[in-house]
Amino acid sequence: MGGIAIVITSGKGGVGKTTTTANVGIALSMKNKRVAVVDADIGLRNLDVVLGLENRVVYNLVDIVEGACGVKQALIRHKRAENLYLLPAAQARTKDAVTSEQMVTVVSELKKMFDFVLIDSPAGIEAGFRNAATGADIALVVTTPEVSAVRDADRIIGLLDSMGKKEHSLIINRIRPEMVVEGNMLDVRDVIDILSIKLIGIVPEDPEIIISTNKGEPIVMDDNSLAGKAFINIARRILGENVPWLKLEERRKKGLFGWIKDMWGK
Amino acid sequence: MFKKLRTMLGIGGKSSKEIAKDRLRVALVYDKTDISPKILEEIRAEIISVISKRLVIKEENIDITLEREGSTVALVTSIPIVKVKRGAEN
Ligand SMILES: Nc1ncnc2c1ncn2[C@@H]1O[C@H](COP(=O)(O)OP(=O)(O)O)[C@@H](O)[C@H]1O
Ligand SMILES: [Mg+2]
Repeated sequence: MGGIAIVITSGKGGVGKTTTTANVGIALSMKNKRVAVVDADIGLRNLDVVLGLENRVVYNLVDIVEGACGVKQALIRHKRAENLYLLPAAQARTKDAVTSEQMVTVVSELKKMFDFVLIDSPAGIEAGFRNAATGADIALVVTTPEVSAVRDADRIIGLLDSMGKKEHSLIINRIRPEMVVEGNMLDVRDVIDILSIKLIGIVPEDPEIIISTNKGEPIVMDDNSLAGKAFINIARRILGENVPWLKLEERRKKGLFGWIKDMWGK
Repeated sequence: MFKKLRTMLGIGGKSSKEIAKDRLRVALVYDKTDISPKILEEIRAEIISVISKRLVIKEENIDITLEREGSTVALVTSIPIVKVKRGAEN
């Protein structure tokens, strides 16, 4: 019984963990799953802002482990995605405010109440990462198609393996199809070849993500953007659906004439 | 523009993504060799046991190292042979 805990992690910072946690969390909740998203990035809280819930934070993860409140009290329900609850991180604290054991306790408590518990991990390979990962049943490793990010992803996959977390899959974020076509960006196949890990999502670079983050409305909530679809597809794959991969290059098809014009234009 | 045309036709050197891929391949193998002298020691013992079936070798003088060679990482060793074991030819 109980739900599934999924850690979203990476190694390198700034590759899209928080964006992924927020969007996949909302996408799962839109599929009528009860979802808790946990900000495990203690001291650098972000997930509340990306979800547009920053003004409603009262208690946080550290308050729970210190006994200042119960798990339920600290949860914040999302305004529009009613099946989604946020457990915020403490902002004015450091990572050592929570131990691995305490994290496991909180996560297993949440698993009793929710179908999915998504844990947004801090960057790095230290205690913060380990705390975020220990309570998880599954790991989603996020990378961008760049040498340093892929290398760090490899390191994280090794660490997850050594922690006994063998169930992991990869999300490649910020793919720029036009650069892939030019041969100036690692493509999905390249990254999978190198990391030999199961793929669960490919997400294009999309300026709409920055706009939606500005507004505190994750991209899956509104429009038909390609990045939004990509996150919805990840949620569907988590639910066991067999979803075809998005054709990121499709948009660029302009026929031979457009292609030649494009070539001369640059 | 000409550079782009060349990479599209697959001539005139590697594209930057191919360079990235090659560098990553080597870096990942190399990163992992950094952390396990223990595995190297095990490989050493296994090589000795295989070779000793056929040859008498100077075990003390065997040195196994990893070296970066262009776009690959190579396992390099030199094994001094004392003599061929009798019957090893079959
Ligand atoms: N696919 C994308 N397209 C455009 N911008 C993105 C994309 N994914 C993430 N970003 C932006 O990159 C930055 C870092 O993302 P974030 O999710 O905070 O990374 P992390 O949590 O791994 O540090 C944010 O400003 C975010 O809006
Ligand atoms: Mg983050």
